[in-house]
Amino acid sequence: MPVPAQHVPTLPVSALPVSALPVSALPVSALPVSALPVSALPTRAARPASDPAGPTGTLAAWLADAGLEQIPGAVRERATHLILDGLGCGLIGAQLPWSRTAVRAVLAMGGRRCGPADRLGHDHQRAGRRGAQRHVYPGLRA
Amino acid sequence: MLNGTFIQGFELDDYFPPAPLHSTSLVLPALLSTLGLLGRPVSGAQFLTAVIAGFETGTRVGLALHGPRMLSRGWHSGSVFGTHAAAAACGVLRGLDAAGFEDALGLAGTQSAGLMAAQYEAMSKRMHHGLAARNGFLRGRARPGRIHRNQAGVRTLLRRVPVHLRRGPRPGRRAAHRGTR
Repeated sequence: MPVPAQHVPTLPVSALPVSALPVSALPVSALPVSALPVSALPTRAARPASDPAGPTGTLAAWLADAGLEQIPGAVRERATHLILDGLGCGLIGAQLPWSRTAVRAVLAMGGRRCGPADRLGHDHQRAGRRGAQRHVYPGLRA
Repeated sequence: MLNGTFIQGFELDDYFPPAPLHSTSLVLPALLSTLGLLGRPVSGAQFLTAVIAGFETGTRVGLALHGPRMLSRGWHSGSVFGTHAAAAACGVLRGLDAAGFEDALGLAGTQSAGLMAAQYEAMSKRMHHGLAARNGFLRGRARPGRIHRNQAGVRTLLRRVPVHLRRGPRPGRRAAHRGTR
């Protein structure tokens, strides 16, 4: 079945499960996306904002192009300190009376773990217990 | 949300007076949550870029919205434009394009909220930045092509609001309306 060229994702045939063959019998786009490895997904061309000259469009374009090499060293250093400062404040704030109230209220709705991140200053084995802390952010490498 | 609440918990954290917001309590929790969902390692450089993008965005949107005037009108400024900071930071980690950022910022802006009831002893102020971090984090997850385009920015929206509504209620006029409705 002929498929217009712009609809064919750039997809190595070897990435497909054998059961999906023969590929020529069905459009590739009919395959369930979840069956494909993420690296095989077609990369979408960068789209501009709807009004690139407007305030939101300018900000969006700047964010899309942001890279560490464009940022002055002093700003980087200050931001690094602020990250540490924020984490420290979080550790202090984690066991404040009103923070405990918030933890109790949220966990009552959402179970022991409420989001994809660990809570600062809390041990997940014994939530809320002072002292033992575990701070593991699996995705973050120095 | 809780991590943002913790960081803001004792007012020891960073603060930007010209556009009042506590940036790390917005950006860090949202980024930590995004890290857990990305399913790929993130370098320190990428993380730092995302943090700085969040800092810049929150303060710039705040300045565009006249900073402290938001407070005097009764809105907690940091949770009004903090959603933008969190969404921008998460978007950098996710590698959004300009249109993706536009969607994320628009969807973040539509969740701006927070009453400045802290002036009247409300404890909820501690949680505002946490809530804004959560809202921005969720908006940063907007996937390209899955959310409608043309999300209006706050400024664009405010410009479309008629001038007499933009000025807000004047105290003297309330008495005149009393008894007429």
